[in-house]
Parts: sequence; C-alpha cells; structure tokens
Amino acid sequence: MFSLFLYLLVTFLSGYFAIERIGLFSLRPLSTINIIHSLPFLAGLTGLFILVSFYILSNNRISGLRRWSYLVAMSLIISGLLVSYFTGFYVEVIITEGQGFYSGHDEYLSIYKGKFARPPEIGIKLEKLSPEFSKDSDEIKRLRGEFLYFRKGGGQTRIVITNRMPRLVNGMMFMIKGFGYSPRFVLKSKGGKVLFSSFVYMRLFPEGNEDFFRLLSPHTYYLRYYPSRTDKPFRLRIVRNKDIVFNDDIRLSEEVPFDNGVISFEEVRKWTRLLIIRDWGKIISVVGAILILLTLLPQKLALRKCKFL
Amino acid sequence: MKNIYASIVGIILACLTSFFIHENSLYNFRFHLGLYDGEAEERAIEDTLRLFNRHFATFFNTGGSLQGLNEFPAANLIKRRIFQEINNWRKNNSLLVYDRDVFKIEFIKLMDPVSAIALAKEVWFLNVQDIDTRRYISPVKAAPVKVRYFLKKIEKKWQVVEYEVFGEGDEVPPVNKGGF
Repeated sequence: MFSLFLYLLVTFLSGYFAIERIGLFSLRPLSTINIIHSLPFLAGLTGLFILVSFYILSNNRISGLRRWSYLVAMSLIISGLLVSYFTGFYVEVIITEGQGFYSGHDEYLSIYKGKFARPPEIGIKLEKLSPEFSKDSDEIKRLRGEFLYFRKGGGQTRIVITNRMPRLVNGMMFMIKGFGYSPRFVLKSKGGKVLFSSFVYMRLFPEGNEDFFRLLSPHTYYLRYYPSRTDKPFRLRIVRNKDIVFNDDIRLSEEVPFDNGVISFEEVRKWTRLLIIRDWGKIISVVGAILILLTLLPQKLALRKCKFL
Repeated sequence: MKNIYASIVGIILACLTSFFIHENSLYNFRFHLGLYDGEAEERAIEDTLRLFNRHFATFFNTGGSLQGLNEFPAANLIKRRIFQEINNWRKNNSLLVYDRDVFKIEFIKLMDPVSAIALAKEVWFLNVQDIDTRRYISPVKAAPVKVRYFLKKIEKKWQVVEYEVFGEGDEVPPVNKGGF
C-alpha cells in the first residue's frame, strides 16, 4: 500500500513539474521557483511527507536514530518550503554604473514576494562593471561588478560579485546576470535649454541590437550602439508615430535637431541585472536535504560493502 | 504491475491538475501541439492590422475625430501617442494627413497562444494641411517604412500593443526581449 501511494505521489510531483516546465497547458513555461511555490506542488509534497512519516513510524526495521533523522529531515524540507512560500523575497533590479539601489525607496521589479515577506533594508551602489567578451564579442564570458554595500548601522563595505559566483551578505544572496549599455541622453529645446537628461538602460548588447525609449512626446527614439566604431558609434532613428523624422549614424555628443527639439548622447555606461534573494526557507530545506543524504549514505555504503563481501 | 498503474494514475492526476489550474488550457494545449487553425489566426491578425491602419489614418485625417475609437484595435498607450500628436498639430491650426499607398504583410509569427508578431511593408504619403481650408502647408512626402507589430489576443480579439517603425533600407533587428 505504501509503495503504491509513494509511486503515485512521486510520479504526480515529477509529472506536474515537467508539464509546467514545458508549459503544456499554460501560455508559456513556468519558472522552477513558481512551480515549487504552486499549491498543487506544495500539497503533493506535504502528502509525500505525511506518507513517508507514517511508514517510518510504523516500520520497526528502521533504527530509532535513523527514523528520527528521516522525520526531522523531511520536516525541515517541508517547513523550509512553506517558510520560503510565505516569507521568501526575490527581487531583480536593473543597476547602471554609478547608480545606487535602496530598497523601500526605489521601485523594483519583484520576482517573488511571500505573503508575509518584509522587504529587507538594502543600500547598494554599482561602482564599476567589467565584462569579458567572447572572441566574436557576441557573448559575455565573465562579468565582474564592484559594489559598495551600505551597512544598516552606518559605514560601507566594498564587495565584488561576478556572474559565476553569488555573494552572501547579511543573510541575503546577491547575484548579477545580464549586461547592456545605458546611454545618457540630453534633450534640449530649439533654443538650447536643457529639458531632460537621464541615463536610460537599453538592451544594446551585442552590437547591432536595437532598443528604444520614449519621453513625454509622441516620439520614439530607436538606438543601436557600436562600441567598436570610433567615429560614429550610434545609429539613431527618431519616429513620430509612423513618420521617420531622423535616421542616421551619429557621434558621441552630436546634437541632432528634430521637430521642436535637439537630442544628443553624452556618455555611455554599463548596466547589469542585480538579483537579491532572502530566503531562509531555502536554507532550512537544504539542511533537511543534507540530513537525508547523511542518513541514507551509511545505509547505501553498508549495502555496497555486503555486495563486495 | 500495481506500481506501474499507480505511476500512470500519478501522471494522469498531474495532467488533470495542470489542465484545471490554467485558463484556456485546451486551447494552449492544442497550440503547443500545433493542432490549431493557424491560417484563421493569421487572417484575424491581418484583418486587425488593416483595421488598425484604416483607423490610424482616419484619426489623423479628421484632426482627431473620436469616431471608431472603440473599434480601434490598439493599446491605450498607442491611442495616447496618436492623439497627442494630433493635438500638437491642432494647436498650430493644422493636421497631418496620412494617405496609405501600400500595405503588404511580409510575415506573421505566432509566439504563443495569445501573442504574435507581424512585419509589414507600408508606404504612406504624408503632408501637413491647414485644418480649416485643407490648404497644403507642406509638400507631399512619400514615407516607405517597415513596421513590426506586436499583437496580443485579449478577450478573443487581437490588438496591437506595440509597433516599431524602420526605414525602407534598415535591417530589421531580432526581437528584443521587452517587445511584449
């Protein structure tokens, strides 16, 4: 009876995970974190926990210590997942060189925030981003970000995060992913008065990629950036609804007159996606998984020894 | 043998759970397996784009008449940009006239059950006119463009949520991830 339910639950969980990961019935595939935090998956896992617990408690062949280890490990995994579901905090922000990020003050794209999650107080500033490109310059081989982390009680710490190695600070995991360029535009009136100036993060990597931005007018500014070109590194196209009002290569700081304004690009910085994760539940689950391995391992080794003998 | 049956039941349960928790799961399932009427969707998208361009030109040519605004298959931000420009022209007592000459769809690609991309070659004749007398203020300018439309299916109707305009000789870059 136990094995029947065990097979049923394990195939249900793995089948459900696979179906959602492929996206067979949904619009598009779901991310792993969304599947793990979904109600059917958590319900299935809780059912598995209850089943295994009953089996272990009622099985006299399993030694007392191992029995309790299993139970503790399973409880840790399940409670870890529940803690993660209710209090997990995953955010993603785009951060440009020289830009700071302060949680609670800035708007950020929240990937996941548990029902009872309280956003942690974070102050971090990207000082320098150093990419290492592949031979054809189309991919990032390595990305190194130098950050200033502002401590809660005052003071700051310099930390380095790479795309290969996440960094643990104050119980939070910091990761960087993705790369692009943030040009700084200056919009002036025909009379030369500065109306607006700002960095705008754009998906301009690799070379030839195009992205656009809009301000308050009906214009759309399409831009491509070619860092390898020394003379005219930008390709700019300004479109007012379906009317192209400018379309040409331009230099850095070149003033482009159009309709009732003048636009120029004064400097280019780099941006990356900073992922901040605070998930105590994940740590609890990992401890549970390690405990299960530790209790299983001696048994496996013993079996192997018996075979050799 | 019993364990195999239990495994089959587990997988069926997983399928049923996934089926019932998603909206339009049958349609999504058919789409992913290619068991849908792609030609009908493409026809619907083409009709949407023709309607979009007809209304687009009419709004400009009438100086912002709101007639047809409810049928205009476009996201609110697109509507806002169109009427913002029309109002700018109106402030100068003028209007920009869009006269369509060519509209040819190069391709339509369904990205998922509710998202599609279409590329069209279009030629418009543009000129600025006095709003009262319809006197030509600017010469007629031919504007050959390539337009990449991003469409979403909302309540079973396709709608333009974004469009990118390229020059006739411009290379159309790959779709950037922020398109939709």
